[in-house]
Amino acid sequence: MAGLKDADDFRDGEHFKGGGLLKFLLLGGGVLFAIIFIVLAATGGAEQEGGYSRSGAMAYSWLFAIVFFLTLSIGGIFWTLLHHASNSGWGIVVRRMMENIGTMVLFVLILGIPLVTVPTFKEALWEWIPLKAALDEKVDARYEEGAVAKLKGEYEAGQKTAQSEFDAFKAQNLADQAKARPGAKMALSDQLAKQEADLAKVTEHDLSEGALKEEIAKEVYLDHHDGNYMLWKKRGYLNEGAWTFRFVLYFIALVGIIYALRFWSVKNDKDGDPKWFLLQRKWACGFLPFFATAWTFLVFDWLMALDYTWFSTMWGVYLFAGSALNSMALLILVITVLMKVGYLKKVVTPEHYLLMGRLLFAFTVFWGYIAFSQFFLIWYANITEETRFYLQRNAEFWNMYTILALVVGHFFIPFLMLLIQQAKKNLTYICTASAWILCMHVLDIYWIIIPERGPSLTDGGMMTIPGAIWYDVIAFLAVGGIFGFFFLWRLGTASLFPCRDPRLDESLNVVN
Amino acid sequence: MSENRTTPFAYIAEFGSAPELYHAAEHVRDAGFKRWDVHTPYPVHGIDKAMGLGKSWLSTCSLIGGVTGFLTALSLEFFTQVMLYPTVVQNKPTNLSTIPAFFPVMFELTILFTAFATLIGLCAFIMLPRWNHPLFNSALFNKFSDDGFILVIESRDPKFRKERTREFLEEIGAGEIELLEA
Amino acid sequence: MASDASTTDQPIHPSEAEGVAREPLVLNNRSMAWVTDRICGIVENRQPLIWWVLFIPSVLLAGLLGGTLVYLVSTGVGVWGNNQPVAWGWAIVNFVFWIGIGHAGTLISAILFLTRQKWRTSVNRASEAMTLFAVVCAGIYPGFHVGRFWMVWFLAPIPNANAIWQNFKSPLLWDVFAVSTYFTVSVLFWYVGLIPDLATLRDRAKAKLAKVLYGLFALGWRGGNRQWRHYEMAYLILAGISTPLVLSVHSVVSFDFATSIVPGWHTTIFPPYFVAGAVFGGFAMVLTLMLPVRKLYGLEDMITHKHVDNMAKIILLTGTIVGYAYIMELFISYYSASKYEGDAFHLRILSGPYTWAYYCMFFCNVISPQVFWFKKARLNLWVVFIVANIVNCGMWFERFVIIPTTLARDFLPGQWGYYSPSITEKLMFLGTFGLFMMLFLLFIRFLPVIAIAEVKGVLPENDPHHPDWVKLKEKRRAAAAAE
Repeated sequence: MAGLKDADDFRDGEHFKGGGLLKFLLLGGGVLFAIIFIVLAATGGAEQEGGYSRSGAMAYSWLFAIVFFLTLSIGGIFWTLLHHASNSGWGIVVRRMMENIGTMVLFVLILGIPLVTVPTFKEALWEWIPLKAALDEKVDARYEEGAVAKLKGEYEAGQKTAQSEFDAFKAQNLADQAKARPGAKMALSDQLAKQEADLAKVTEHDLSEGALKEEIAKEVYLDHHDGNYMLWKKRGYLNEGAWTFRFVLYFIALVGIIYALRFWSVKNDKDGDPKWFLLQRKWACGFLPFFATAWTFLVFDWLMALDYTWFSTMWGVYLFAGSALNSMALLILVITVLMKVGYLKKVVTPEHYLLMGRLLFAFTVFWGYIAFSQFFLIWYANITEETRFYLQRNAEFWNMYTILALVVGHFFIPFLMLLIQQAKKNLTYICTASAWILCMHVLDIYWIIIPERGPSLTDGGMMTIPGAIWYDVIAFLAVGGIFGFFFLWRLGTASLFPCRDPRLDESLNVVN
Repeated sequence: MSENRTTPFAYIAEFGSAPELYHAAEHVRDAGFKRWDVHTPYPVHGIDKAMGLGKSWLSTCSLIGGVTGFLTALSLEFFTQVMLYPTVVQNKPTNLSTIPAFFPVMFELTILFTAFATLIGLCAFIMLPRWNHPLFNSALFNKFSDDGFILVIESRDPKFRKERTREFLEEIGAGEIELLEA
Repeated sequence: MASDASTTDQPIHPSEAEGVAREPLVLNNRSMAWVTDRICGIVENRQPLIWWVLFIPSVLLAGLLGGTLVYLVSTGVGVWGNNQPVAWGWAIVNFVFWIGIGHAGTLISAILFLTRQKWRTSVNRASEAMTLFAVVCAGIYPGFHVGRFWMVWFLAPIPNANAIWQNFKSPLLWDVFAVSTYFTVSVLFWYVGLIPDLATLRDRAKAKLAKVLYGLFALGWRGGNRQWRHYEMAYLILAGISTPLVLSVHSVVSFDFATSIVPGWHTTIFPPYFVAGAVFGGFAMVLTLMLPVRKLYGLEDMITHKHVDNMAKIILLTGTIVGYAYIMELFISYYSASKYEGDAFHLRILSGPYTWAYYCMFFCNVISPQVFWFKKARLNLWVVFIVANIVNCGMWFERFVIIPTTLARDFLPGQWGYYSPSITEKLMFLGTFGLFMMLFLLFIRFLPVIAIAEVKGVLPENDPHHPDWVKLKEKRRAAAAAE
């Protein structure tokens, strides 16, 4: 057929050059804001009116900025994995861009390291850390004052007493038995057996140091006044050692997955050997469970644990839905900008836009479905353990915010915009929708993190901290600038599309 | 009667394959015919363009149906739960802030009404059902439901000429051609 | 950056290399006439003996279902084994089981249609039919579970005898709307898909009655493009609205449980977890039905290994998603530090009366599909068939675990009980299988089991835009060589 494109014409790919000035503006801006942020955070230890410190408030800002950009790169990883795992062909020409967005996970997670290492930050963000530390301190104090030896002594004394009491009882009992009639004798011997069993319970009590320490810790944690039942129950998961170790695992898993895939994909650019293609496809399927697990528990650790009492089984899916949606929006915007400056013009067609627009639409609906279901089930059942999350986000300022930003802005407006089928081929239109969705996603992440700030940090339980929004803006610009710099740098490191992918033909000529 | 019987109804022409039919359709379109159609065993991708047909506006019907369904459900729930007989159940207030609990029914009725509107719209747009059609009298035409690629130009078309149209059809590569009489 | 790969013999874009090339959806270069003949032949020719061997017992079992229902209504719901505390016994287990199976059909049709998965064409018709029959089986249970069947009209959105309206805030009423909408829209979707094929059967019919009946339902279809284009739009819209519908129906079914405050039921992941489970179980049932049909009627060229392979992969994917949900439930029951949640799952997996059911479920749904990581397993039809049946059992156990396990251990130990089904319930469940099989066999007998028009559409020579890279390349290379 006429108009059919031959992938051989594109075998050398397109290489991104330029963007130099913009790149350094972004880097400069990012670093500048980062410095401002660091200075403000480092000098913000003093307690403000309301009982919070500026550094603490800024911890939330940094988490917000990191999580927003993290979700974008997580979406990039997801789309790359999905493209391979579903054996797709349509998106080869945009797949490199998915990979590029995905590899940003490395830089974002590196920027996020202060969150898990700087004590001021993590103690402000995750209340369970200082609470648990305080309890552990108490436990340690008990150890130091010799509570273990004392408890052991008590137990041993108790055992001795029990033993002697039992011996006396036994002697008396045996004497009674000798005198008793057969029926009463049986009752007496039963009594003896029971006493013996009770004694065994006391004497066999585990007196090893570990067990005694545990007992003391439990006593401290379950104290009615100063203890914390939740933290005792959750100590296997919510403790700093395991928590930090898990972060390392997430880091390795997420970075490893996308770097491996991109490595093979770039290799394929060089020699066009289908083995790279097959390698990517095979491993993408195997990576999917690890990706899902790492992301789920990362958002449990970082976001759900902002309030350690709250829980929702849907949480991982909710964050995943938002990530995939917004990464697709970013992808559309990036591709369009590149086309506007003269790249990819021959390879990306309106057909690709239609497909990406459909995915955008599908994930708008999916996000709405997940967000609604999560809210709905908690709202409907209305039980104390869970409702706090939504109560907080429906109080005062946050009530209108939830309705306008999330219900109307994040769902209904994009839904109606993307309902029109043919408009998805109109670049201006689809880019407006994508940009809108991205902005709403900023608000979504803001909504997840920031409402926790006031109640957690202030002693008066203020819903919002006045003026703290500027820290959020600074953090966002800092991370955004650095993200943008690395992204532009990443664009230049390989062809803008996988130029020797064996399915390039299919993607170039895709027709809906 | 005999005169009526010789009135031509349409030319029926068979083509060998979908691409051939596709090109033929382009020719017929360019020749300016209006009352013609291609009959195929399956929907041929992109042939709308070859025939010069635009987008189907069936989606408008569906949209109207959907909105009707949504409003029906909303008013049904609002009138019965809030106005007629407000009862506090499951500790939910009897006003519109219970709307999340109303949502499932709204959704289902929106879908239901959309589906019916689409089906009714479809029947209206394609002017079916109808019990019979003159074209069914032709054995050649009936191949459309098996493996025939059929092009039909009706005699009602202002450009229809008994001889010239046949020549035209031969020119654009038709195989078997039949003049169907009504 | 350009290397000199172009000078070697290796093509730069080896789109025909092994593992890269797209496998054909219809094997052996079959023609359209062959497709028509083979599919219509199933309806037109005499049924093989095995059809009768299956049909007669199915009718008898369906009769058994009727009998048990008459017995139930005439005697009272006491003939079922459910009572306090397990008020939802097999009736609701089986309802959810059947409605879950009823999801694959519309899923294959709608979602795979929207995502342009052309392999759906060979299996969508039968799975849609399966959907309808499964929903019929499902609908019986809640209808009779109301107790007094003649009062079932109370479910309809009309004021009852005391002029009181239904409670629209109740998940059970949403269920009524969701299931009836789902059934109606699935029928419409299925019927719209059938119209062109009914026209084919009409044009081939020899007997007068057949011609009249097929003609009646084909609505006078003429296959003109002026019809096809609206038809395709209608099909697209129906697919578009069916997709969220499929999601909503099983989500609403999950709301029956999850909006409550019962530990083990109230958990936010229920909606997507139920949907994934339904797709999972539905695909397993499609394979259970289609593998024998494929063999029996010689449809190997249309339902190829590629189709089976794809369905096995979907089973693996959805099975793993279901596993994710199980793990999330377990993890949160620990992490929540909620005593009730913790106890509910402790009773499920360690000390309760139904732990065996939990392990059955986990093995069938999560462990067994993992064999599909291996291509050899996916290509071995016996393995696929056996795993599909294990999954069918597993999905039944899942619902059993959710319902009686949870209810048998209420908040108060004084309310604890044990549920075992009565013989009536068992016979009724068996009877629904009879009804299901009977309807499915009748479907095979009277309607095209594969979507004829759609299969024709995916034959490679029938796409005017067929991208024949190889030919194009050869031509260009030859031209270059000539220069």
